[in-house]
Amino acid sequence: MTTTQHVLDYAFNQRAILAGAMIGFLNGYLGGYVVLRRAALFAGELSHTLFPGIALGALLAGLNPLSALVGATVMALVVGLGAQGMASGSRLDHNTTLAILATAAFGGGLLVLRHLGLYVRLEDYLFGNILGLSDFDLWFTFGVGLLTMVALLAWQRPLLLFLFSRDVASTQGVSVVRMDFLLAALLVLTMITSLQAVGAILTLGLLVAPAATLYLFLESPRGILWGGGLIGAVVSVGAVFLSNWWNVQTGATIVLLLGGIFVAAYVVSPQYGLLGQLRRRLRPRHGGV
Amino acid sequence: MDAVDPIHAMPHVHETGSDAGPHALAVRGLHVHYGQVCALHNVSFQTCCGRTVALVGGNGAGKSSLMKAIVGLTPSTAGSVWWRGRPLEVRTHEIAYLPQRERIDWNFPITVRGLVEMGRYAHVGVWHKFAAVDRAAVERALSTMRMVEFANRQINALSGGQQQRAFIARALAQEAHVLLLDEPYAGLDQPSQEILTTLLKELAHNGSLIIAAHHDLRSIGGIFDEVLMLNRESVAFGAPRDVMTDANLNRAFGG
Repeated sequence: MTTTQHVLDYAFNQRAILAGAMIGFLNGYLGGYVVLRRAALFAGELSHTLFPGIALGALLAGLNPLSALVGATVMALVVGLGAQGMASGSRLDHNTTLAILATAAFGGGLLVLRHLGLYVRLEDYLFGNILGLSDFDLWFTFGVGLLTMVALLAWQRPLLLFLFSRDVASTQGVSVVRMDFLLAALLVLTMITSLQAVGAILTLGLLVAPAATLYLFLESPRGILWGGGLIGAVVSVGAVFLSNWWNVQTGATIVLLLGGIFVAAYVVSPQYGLLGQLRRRLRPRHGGV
Repeated sequence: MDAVDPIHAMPHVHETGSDAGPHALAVRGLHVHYGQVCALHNVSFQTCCGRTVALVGGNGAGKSSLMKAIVGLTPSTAGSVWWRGRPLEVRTHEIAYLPQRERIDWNFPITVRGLVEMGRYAHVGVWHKFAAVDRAAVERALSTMRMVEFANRQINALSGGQQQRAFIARALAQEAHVLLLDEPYAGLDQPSQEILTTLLKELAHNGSLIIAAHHDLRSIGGIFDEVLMLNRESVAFGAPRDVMTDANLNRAFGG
């Protein structure tokens, strides 16, 4: 108890707990869509473009949340659409072009950051610094989170239809192109808010791990979405405490915990896990039709 | 977004016996191209609700392209599709398309009931409450396709025949009059095929129009009322006995 009280005594810890709950929930919830879309790789490459985007924004308009948001959005669009454009109608596939453009942009971002003398904050951008958040950062996170959640809830039905089958969704009047862009835009927004907490490198784990864990147990998309949000929030808040007690980095603690939970889930899941597979292999199968 | 059509909010939708007669579906001079490649050339045929129609032809004969063009997934380069006496210009929930097995993510975390509920999207849209009328439509579709006992199963925990029936139930919940099925019999064992045949005939009897790509030429007569034989263009259309002649088969499959 005293140690818990000790953690809560500090304003930066209080902000970190609030931020952890919001960012954890947002990532866990949105991550459900990413997992169901099987788009973790795409999200990973997108997260690589955030950092050079922020560097670009800082180069043009100084380092602030707005320039970071605009820069990262522009960079994600340029790299994402550029990769798509280069791949369409050529023998190259989308993953190849995206990998090259995203890493090239990342390299450019490193150089720009050094040029601007912001290199000392590099570690914050890559791995996050949830204890360094200001009140403004919290409000920014809250605003973006609210916007994202409203959009996701409003378009939940067409989004789920689209994730299940583009063909079926399309014949039911869902604009699949619009859904693609909606998800990508919300991903960029969410990743930018998460950058301060878990950084460009680690944000992917926070995004994907909670939903992937539940994907091993649940047969309901809504269960995966809300449950993912819950796991993301609880683990992030827990990690703030643990990292305080152990005196380690919070962002790394969050994704390490989530990774551990995912691996444990993979082992024990009766339907889709390792033990379940072993049990089924040992037992003769019923002739399924 | 589709508006809710008052007629189709009623429990049963297929008015085969009405004054207007069964709803007609007509395809007139349809062309489909993928870039420079011609997938369909000047295809025409006309049928109506209450029938079962087989689309036959070799690989690349245009069976899938025809169905996708009818439902609006693939744009046609020329020609038109007429439904209930009017050119079909906007998408309608009255025509449902069931993709080939390979196009479905069977691991998607959804139960049969969840899948069938998705069919109500045309009626509830983005905002409307999923109401008693929607739940009733879902239950009715499940029971018509004899899927009630499997309603809580994940779609990958079904046999191939049950998977087809689940997707057809989704189309019924959508209140579709026309069901376009892409190779529904592919990979089904004999008992599953027989159940599917019984159900498809039952649906047609109750006023649905079933159009299915089909590859097993021997079973056509036992399942379908009409056959459209394709080889990028229509080779023949009519009753199986008239269409399945050696001359036509040669034109469609030979050389």
